[in-house]
Amino acid sequence: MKPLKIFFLLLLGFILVIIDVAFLSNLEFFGVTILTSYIALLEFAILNRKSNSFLAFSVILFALFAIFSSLPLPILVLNFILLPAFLIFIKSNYFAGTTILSTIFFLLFASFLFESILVLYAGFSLSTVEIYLSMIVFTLLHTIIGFAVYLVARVFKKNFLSIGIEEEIR
Amino acid sequence: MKKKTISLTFFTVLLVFAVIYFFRQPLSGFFVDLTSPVSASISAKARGIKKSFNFFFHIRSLRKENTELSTKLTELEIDRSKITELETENKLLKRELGFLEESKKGSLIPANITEQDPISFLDTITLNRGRDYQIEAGMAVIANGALVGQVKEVFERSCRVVLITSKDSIVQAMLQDSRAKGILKGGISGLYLENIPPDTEFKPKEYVITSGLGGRIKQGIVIGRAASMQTSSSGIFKSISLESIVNFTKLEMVFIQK
Repeated sequence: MKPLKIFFLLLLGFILVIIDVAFLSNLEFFGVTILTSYIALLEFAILNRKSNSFLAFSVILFALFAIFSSLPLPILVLNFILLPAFLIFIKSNYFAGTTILSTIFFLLFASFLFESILVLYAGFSLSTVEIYLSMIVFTLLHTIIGFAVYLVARVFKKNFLSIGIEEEIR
Repeated sequence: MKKKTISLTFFTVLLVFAVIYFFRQPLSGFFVDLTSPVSASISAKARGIKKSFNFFFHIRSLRKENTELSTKLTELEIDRSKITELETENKLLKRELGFLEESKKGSLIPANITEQDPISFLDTITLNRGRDYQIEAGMAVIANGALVGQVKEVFERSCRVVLITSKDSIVQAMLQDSRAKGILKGGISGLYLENIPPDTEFKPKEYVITSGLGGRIKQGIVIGRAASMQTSSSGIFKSISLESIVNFTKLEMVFIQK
């Protein structure tokens, strides 16, 4: 991996975490805040064929969340390294191509598991309605935003790729 | 070649883990202090956006709230005059009995919220006051006259506060009228005053205040109002659910009590 790419990932992670802690943490939707950094991590998993940049970004996010959040390290390892690694393993072994349906399923599953781990850590209580609501809202919100970002990124990728191919033909 | 790449990746990941594990606090201090000015301005902008949206979406509830607050204000004015009267009487009686007057209020340091934990259930905030203002771990954090949290970590120019709504928060508290003492705990299910003796007489809407036992939080800071009583699973003690008098989603400026 090139040092420039590592620097880019570090900068991206830093900017996204600052947006999460300083900006989006103030804007709650049914007690849920948007984690742009996690969405970016999922996009790396969906769009990148090579897993090295995904792994590097997940380690960067782990380090940044350890600095800017109070979550204990085992939870951070679980949510930002083991869970995405498990998901990318599932994706690469059981979903051969990236279809719209598989992307939605991947985003839904990843967001649901991420929030479930946090809820279990925070103390799950069967009788608290807010817990279910936050789980549903978090999952849906991150799936919708993640899917929108995926569509935009796909269009960009297609355009850049087509330009690259045209240049190669010339 | 591939084997070399794998071992290099493994070594890098291990190194990151080790650095984070051993130097998490100093790293947090350095980066939180570094980003504090930027975060404060971004945070202020976010609150501005939130306020504008709240105004348009809650105009009806705001009108209702305004009427309720006006009524409450009149009641409080009456209460205040009674309190002033009682304070004067209390001072006189204390002087008569030879008590030394102690300052319960302490000095209050205003602080702005620069960052919030993005994980919803954690309820941790970062303030723009640190060692430069002689802030120490364990100090009480107050907003609108009520306790909202406790300083957890102190950095050079900022500090991290655990809100009372957090599952990691434990505060010694008591019921204001019955004087029954317990432990205030936060969490995903709300605020609870736990370990209350079973013979406690409980009045709904009774104020819950800090008991001043242990730690650095002084006695008499309002926390919230008692809502309903529940018997704990062991059956020995009781617990009371609390309604906070502070809207934690609207926190902007807080005060650290020294």
